[in-house]
This record gives sequence, structure tokens and C-alpha cells, in this order.
Amino acid sequence: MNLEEFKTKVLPLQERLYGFSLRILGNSEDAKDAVQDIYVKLWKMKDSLHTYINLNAFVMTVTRNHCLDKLKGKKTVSLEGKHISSDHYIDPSPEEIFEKKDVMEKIKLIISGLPENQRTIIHLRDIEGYDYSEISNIIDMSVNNIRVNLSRARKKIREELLNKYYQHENSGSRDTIGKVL
Amino acid sequence: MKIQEAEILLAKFYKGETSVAEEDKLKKFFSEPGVPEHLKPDQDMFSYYSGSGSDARPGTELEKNILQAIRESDTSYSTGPGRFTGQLYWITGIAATILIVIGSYFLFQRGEEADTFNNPELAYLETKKVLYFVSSKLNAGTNPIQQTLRKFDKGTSKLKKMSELNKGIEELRAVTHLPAGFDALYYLEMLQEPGDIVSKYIK
Repeated sequence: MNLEEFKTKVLPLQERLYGFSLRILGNSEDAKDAVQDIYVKLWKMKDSLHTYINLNAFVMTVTRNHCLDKLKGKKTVSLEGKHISSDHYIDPSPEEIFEKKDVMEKIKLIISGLPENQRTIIHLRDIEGYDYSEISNIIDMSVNNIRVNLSRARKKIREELLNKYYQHENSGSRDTIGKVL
Repeated sequence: MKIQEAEILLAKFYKGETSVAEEDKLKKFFSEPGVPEHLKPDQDMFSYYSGSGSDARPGTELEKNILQAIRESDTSYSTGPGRFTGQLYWITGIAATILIVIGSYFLFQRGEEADTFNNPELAYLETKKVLYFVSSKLNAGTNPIQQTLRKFDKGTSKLKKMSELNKGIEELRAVTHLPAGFDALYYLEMLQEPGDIVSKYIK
């Protein structure tokens, strides 16, 4: 693959890569750095890129692996836990919830609190609109497992939204709906 | 889409059973006015899903940075071997020059050595003499070879008796008829059995 081809086939995926990296890493600076590094990696693979039938899915796989490696490195470096860790559910503090009035921000925060697998699946499915087989390709998980995790994540997001947002707005009736779900 | 239909789809959605097309339907439903109060949280979620692509824009400088990073990795990758091939050029050049100098020195030295006779006729005679000497030695060498060849011939003539072996093998072919004989013997045996039975009854 020459530079022209690379520019037309791989470079336009940058927004997807960025969105995905941001979802995994949790902050925009790290995500931008990651995207640059990933592109350098991909460019070094330029001679074998044409062998991948689904280039898009392959690029997403590379992105995920790179970001997860980065997270692993970070965990050992900064034990302060400023960044959202990959596998543990961190409950957003009530202050944070109150500060941010915007419901969109709240949903973002809820998603960022999900375990990495679920966060990734929600992102790939509900935001990027990949089908199950593609997701299975990217994260190396069976379609059935993906469905289970996706279902859990969707329910969790709704539940959190009801509890932490709608409950503050007008407590009472909605709370019960949240409990039922 | 009716509200009831949306609720059914939504239930499927939370179980992780909706297809991409069905999820698109839901996105459309929630983007239009007339969503009932009790589905408000779901609407928020869907509007986040369909709109979050835009809140995560990386900015225009990212592409520039990517291309620069690629270029940097490319040049640092290619100057290494480039420098090396440059050195290789010089080394091969010097080596070739040395080889030419040494080679031509030997070539010219040989040329000087060549003429030892002043008279060409004498040189011819001298060459002839040498060639005769070589041929006589060669003949002496071939004689013993001829002798051994003759002995070898004698040996092979004795081997002709092998053809008699063939005759013997031909005769052995008759053995192939043996199985047929065995079959016949088998039938004889069968005949004998009823004979036994009969003799028992007689007793």
C-alpha cells in the first residue's frame, strides 16, 4: 500500500479510531497520542494491509489492543487512579453528577464507569453501529457473549440514568421504575 | 412507529436481541416528537448514541500530526540503510580498483615471460618433441587397461550360464497348477464325511 492509498483508505478512519480510543482511555490527550502511534504502526504494516478483508475491523482491533496496552502501562505508573481503570466499575461521585447538568455528559460518565468489555461493546454497537460478527472479530469474543454483555451494559446505563439523574430531578415515581428494571 | 411497537422493540433492545435495522428504527422513533414521558430516559440514551459521534471530534490538527508522525517514522527508518549503502558504494569501488591493479600486474608480467626462443623453427621443434614424449607416456598407460578389459570379457562369458537358470524357472511354473490339485483333494475329503456317517449307521 503506497501513501496515496493509505491516505484514502486508512486515514479517513481517524475519527472512528479517535472515538474508540477516547472511549477506552477516557481522556482526549491520551486518545490523540494513541491515534498517532496507531497510525505509525499501521503505516509500518503497509505492505500487509491489503491482505485483511475487513480493513475497518482490523484497524479497530489494532486500536483496541494498543489502548489496552497503554492502560496496562498506566496502571503501574500512576497508582493514584486518576484515570478510569479498565476493569473496575468506578462509581461517579454524587458531586460530579450534580455538577454536570447536561444529561449527555451524564450518560458519557455512566458509560465510562462500565467495565472495559461492556464499554467497548456499547461503543462499537450502539455508537458505531457494527454488527455482531464484526464486533466478535474486533474484540475476539463469541457473538453470544457479546449479546449478554451488551444487554447488561444497556440495562445498567438505563438503571444508572434513572437513579442518578431522573431521581434528582423529580424523585418518587421514576425511582420505582428504575428498581423494577 | 406506534408507541406499543416501540416498547416491544425496546424490550428486545435491552435483552440484546435487536438487529441493527431495528435499532435504527428505534433511533428514528426517539428522534421524532411525541415520545411519551415514561420513555424519556431511553430517549436520552438514544440521542446520546446517535449524537456522540459529533461530540468526540478530534480536531483538524490530528490528521496533520498523524501524517507528520508517519513521515518521521519513515525517514528515521530509511536513513539507516541509506547511509549503509552509501558506505558500501565506496568500499566496493575501492575493492574493484585494487583488484584491477593486481590483476593487470600479473597479466603484464606473464606477457614478458612468454618469449624464451629467438628462432621460431627451433621453438616448433622443441614443442613437437614435448608432444611426442607426452603421447608415448599415454600409450604406455593404455596397455594395462586393455589387458584388464580382456580379463573382464572372460568373466562375463562365464556368466552366460545364467540363461540355464531361466529354463529351471520355466519348469517351476508347473507349480501353479498345484492349487487346482488341492481343490480336488478338498472335494475328496467332503466325500469322505458322508461316508463316515453311513458307516456309523451301518454299525
